[in-house]
Amino acid sequence: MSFLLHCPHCGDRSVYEFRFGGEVKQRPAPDAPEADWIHYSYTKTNTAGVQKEWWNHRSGCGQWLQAQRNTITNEVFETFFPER
Amino acid sequence: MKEKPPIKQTALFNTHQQSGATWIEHHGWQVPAYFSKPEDDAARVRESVGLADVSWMLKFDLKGYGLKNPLALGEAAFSLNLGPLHALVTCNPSARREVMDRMQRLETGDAALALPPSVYVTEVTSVYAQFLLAGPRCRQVLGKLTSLNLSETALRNLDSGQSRVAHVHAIILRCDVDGIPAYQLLVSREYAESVWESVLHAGREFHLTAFGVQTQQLLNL
Amino acid sequence: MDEHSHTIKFEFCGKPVEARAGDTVASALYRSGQRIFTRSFKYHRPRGLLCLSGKCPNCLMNVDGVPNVRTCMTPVRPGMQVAHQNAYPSLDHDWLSIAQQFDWLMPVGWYYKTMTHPSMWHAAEPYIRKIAGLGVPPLVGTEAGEYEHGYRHAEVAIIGGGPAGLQKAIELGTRGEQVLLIDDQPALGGHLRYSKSSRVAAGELIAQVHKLANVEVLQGSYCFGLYEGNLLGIVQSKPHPEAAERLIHLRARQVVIATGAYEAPLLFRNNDLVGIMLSSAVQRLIRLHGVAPGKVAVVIGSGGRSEELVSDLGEAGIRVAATVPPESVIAATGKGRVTGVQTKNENLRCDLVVVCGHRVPDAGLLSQAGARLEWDGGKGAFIPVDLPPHVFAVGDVTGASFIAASPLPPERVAASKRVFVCVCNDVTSQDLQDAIAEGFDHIETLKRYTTATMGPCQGRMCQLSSIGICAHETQRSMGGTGTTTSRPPNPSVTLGALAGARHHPTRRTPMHYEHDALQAVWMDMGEWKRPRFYKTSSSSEEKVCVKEEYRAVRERVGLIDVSTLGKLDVKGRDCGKLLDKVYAGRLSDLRPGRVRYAVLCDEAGIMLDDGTVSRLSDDHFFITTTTGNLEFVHQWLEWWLIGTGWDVHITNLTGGLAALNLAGPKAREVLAKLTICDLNTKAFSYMACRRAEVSGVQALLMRIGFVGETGWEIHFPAESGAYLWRALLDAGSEFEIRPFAVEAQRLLRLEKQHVIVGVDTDALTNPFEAGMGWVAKLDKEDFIGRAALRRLSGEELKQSLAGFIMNEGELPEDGAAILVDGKLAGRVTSARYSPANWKAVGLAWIPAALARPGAEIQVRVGGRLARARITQQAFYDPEGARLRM
Repeated sequence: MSFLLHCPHCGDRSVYEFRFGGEVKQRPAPDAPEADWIHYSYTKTNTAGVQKEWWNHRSGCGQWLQAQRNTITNEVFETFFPER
Repeated sequence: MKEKPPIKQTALFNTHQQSGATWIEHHGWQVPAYFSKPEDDAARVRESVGLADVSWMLKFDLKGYGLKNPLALGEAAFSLNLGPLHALVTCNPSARREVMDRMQRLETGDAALALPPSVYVTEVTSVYAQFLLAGPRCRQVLGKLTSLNLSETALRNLDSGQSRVAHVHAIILRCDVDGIPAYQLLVSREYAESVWESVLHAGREFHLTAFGVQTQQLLNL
Repeated sequence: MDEHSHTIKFEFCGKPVEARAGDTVASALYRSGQRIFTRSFKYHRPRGLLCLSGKCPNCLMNVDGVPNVRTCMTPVRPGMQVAHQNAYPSLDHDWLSIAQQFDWLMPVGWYYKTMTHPSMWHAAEPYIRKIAGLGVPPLVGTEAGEYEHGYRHAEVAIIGGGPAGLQKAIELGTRGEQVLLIDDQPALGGHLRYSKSSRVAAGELIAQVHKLANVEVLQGSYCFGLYEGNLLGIVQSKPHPEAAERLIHLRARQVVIATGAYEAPLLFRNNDLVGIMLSSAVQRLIRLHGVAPGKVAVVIGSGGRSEELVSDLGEAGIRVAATVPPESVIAATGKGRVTGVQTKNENLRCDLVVVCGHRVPDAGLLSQAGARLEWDGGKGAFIPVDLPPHVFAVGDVTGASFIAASPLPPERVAASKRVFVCVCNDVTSQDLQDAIAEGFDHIETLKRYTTATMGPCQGRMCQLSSIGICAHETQRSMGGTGTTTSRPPNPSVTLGALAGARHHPTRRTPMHYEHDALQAVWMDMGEWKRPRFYKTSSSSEEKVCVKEEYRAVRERVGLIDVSTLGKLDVKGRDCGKLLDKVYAGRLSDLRPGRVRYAVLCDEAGIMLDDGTVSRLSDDHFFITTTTGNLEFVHQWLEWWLIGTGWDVHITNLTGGLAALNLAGPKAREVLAKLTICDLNTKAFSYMACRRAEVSGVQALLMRIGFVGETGWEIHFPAESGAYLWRALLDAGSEFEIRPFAVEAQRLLRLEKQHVIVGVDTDALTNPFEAGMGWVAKLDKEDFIGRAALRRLSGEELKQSLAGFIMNEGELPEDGAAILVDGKLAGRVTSARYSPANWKAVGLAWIPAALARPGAEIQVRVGGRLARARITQQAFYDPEGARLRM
């Protein structure tokens, strides 16, 4: 694994500069049913294909970013900083 | 019981001591003036490459929406863009008063609009060890330690980037002076010795020399 | 000047050898009369030069202590120490060549057929390792030189400095592209250097390349892998006098593969005899090194290629006995060295056999990049197709000018233990045919079962022949049989090059050399160096020293360096909101000047970290994290800020602040000598924090008590670290202050049953099990882990972390088993001998039902069971009175 990820601040960097943060999920509301919380805490979609995921540029600017990546080919389509 | 503050020591005090530094007090810091002779050290830097500990340079971490606009901190300060609404300002200790005054003005929020301060300033002089790697061979030395693209087009003079140097997170600022190519390297203080040794090791093939503040002044760096 | 006039001396197996400038180790040895270069892997058959281009295993030797060096690619240097491998006592007289008499005992897959029981393998392995081998790794500390890494970036990387690579470099260079040309040979030119058939003049191309300032050439450097994102692994040998090799991580926008083609051997009986060489090897010896490889030669080949060779041999003064087509050859004859060729029609005598082998595109890097290899019968080669974007191929690697040397799959393959398909691992045609008969008829399973294509040459010499045999035996086409997969590294790479320079990042606190001067015994905590304990003037025994440190803290006063704690500065109007959201406790109601203990959980309610949160002013907090979790906690806080719009700004101050903990009954008196800050417990109560000047240093004082005594954690600028450390020790000398370290601190906290997250807890621990349910404020509207913790708060506990005290004098190890009614029921997380209790105390995971004071458990201590009692309150000062004094 040595693909490049585009950090919106630092530019194209080796994936080794980043920490993987898992797939992007929607956190349930505090009063959501327990089943929703269990699903959120323990279930991963594990998409074979394009998924939206979190990366932290730990060796660079330290920012969290989101990427659209094909998990089969490691092709990265889009990266951006989510609104703070 | 009001005491005079003690003289400050960089993280490399012991390293410099071992290398036979001649000490000098510089803005309240105990720093190497030179190692062999200021002129000899300077000649080696000019010919090949040298490394100096400039951790005594002032550093401030700036965050906040005020950074959307260009910072007006005057000639004395240099500002590095570290990320969205995040900057690092570095300057010579002699400019402390002027730079801090200007930053204080940024820190004040608009009371009438009940807005938070537009810029939050945290002094981080102690947080980072700062090195000056200078001389015609400095790019070749640094290229052995970082995967950051250092080529002429990728990192132009006064450009900065963040990446790993000798496996440690570092802020790299290219700052050529009078035609001498040079980089400023900032690493978290606790890694200072480790990174310093790695740079010395990488520079051995170019006969890299350590140099002190007196040599730096000779070189006008 | 004649480039051959200059001689270089080196040693081969202790004997001096003279070489000429421009020689490789192999060419110099050949000139000196050496004909056997290696002994084969299994049968110890003598092997001589075969390819002379770094593609085969026949010249691997030990050079300056480094095993498996391709001597045909290694330029001679004065004083080199070269030695043979895998032969005893010498290459010419190898006793182990007896192995070939027993080849019938070693059918294909004989490991799997013979070693059917683990004990057999263990018994046989030492002998097998001695007989079959590829050199001996150098002893630690005897490496030939240092290894290092480097990083490069290029617009275009061209791999291969032959005519195609040179032409591409000129084309792109003229266009202004920034080009890096990588060539593994000692000089540019590729086959133009030794073959006169080409119409292109190498000198002209090379001169043009050197004129272009934007084209850089890395000579004597090979590319061993092409990875994702156009990352190329390059090994540069002898980049400077002190380094053996440099591994370059090269990122290129575009990669041009111009690796050309190589020659692969043909199959006939005894095709591995010394004196049988590939045609390009013969040309290299003649043209590049001025050595005539024989007196009388037989050329196996046909067409233009063999005619060129006949002419070359003639020029070198070698008589050509005959040129024979490959199909007519039955066997080579000779014992060890070739003495003749047996064809269908005649027996020819010679001392050199020149094989015009199959031409094979050197397409390994293209395959690694994702290209497909497609069979082209007319060309007699697998041609790379479907190249990915950003990767291009030029020249012979595309197979454009190829004409098949002999038909593939072959019409007939003799089954013989003397037709060597794979010279690396001594795999013969019979081995392959037997394996196919046994059912391993897919090219990938055939490879794994027979080990053909798995040796040092990585299939360069044998892949095409293996596919040919497989196709012939299974009556499939070449394309239908397909190729095995090329993976990096290829060619092989030394482990030294992969490891690089030994730059281990190390973190040192500002007081590091103070500890050194006090005879600290060091321990590693992640990248940090921390003192484990300090030797005393009378003892260097850990038990004794730790006890003295312990007594100082309990009875007088001690000082510990806690600078490794993570330290985060948090500013902004909404800090309280963020901290309430991420920590299990409530922090927004913390008053300025107060400190609170806080635990961080994840959404599943698992304890991630703990530390203190101090409120310095309304909009300013200061957080400490555990030593190992700083980066994680920082990222975690930043992550939960996203999308909130809150005014919170976090700065990591860890390296910038030294931190000390001054603790013990005399701590107040010591500190009072250095500060005007009122330390009286009314003015500065337990869990309060103040900014104050200590001995002229601006500091943050926090009154907390991890070790269970009155004490202050002092945070102050790192550049005054050594100074204040000494100042405090000086001030404390009248109270017999002692520095204490991690081991004493662990004992002190254990007596207080203070849990260390990550030591006493693990990746499945929630606060309720840890006996710390009080940290979770479930009445908060929302926080990370609230849903899970609410659920868990209603569930019955299965296990609990509880304190225990041994009944007798035994000391269990950390991790020891807990037994209840003779059954495994839990484990010890920490145990130490407690001077306050005259017994060992500890923390352990036990069944929740037993987590009540006085319950009996059994602990395994050194193979025996010892009895212990559960104690739910601290083993020392359970009321915490000493903390509040």
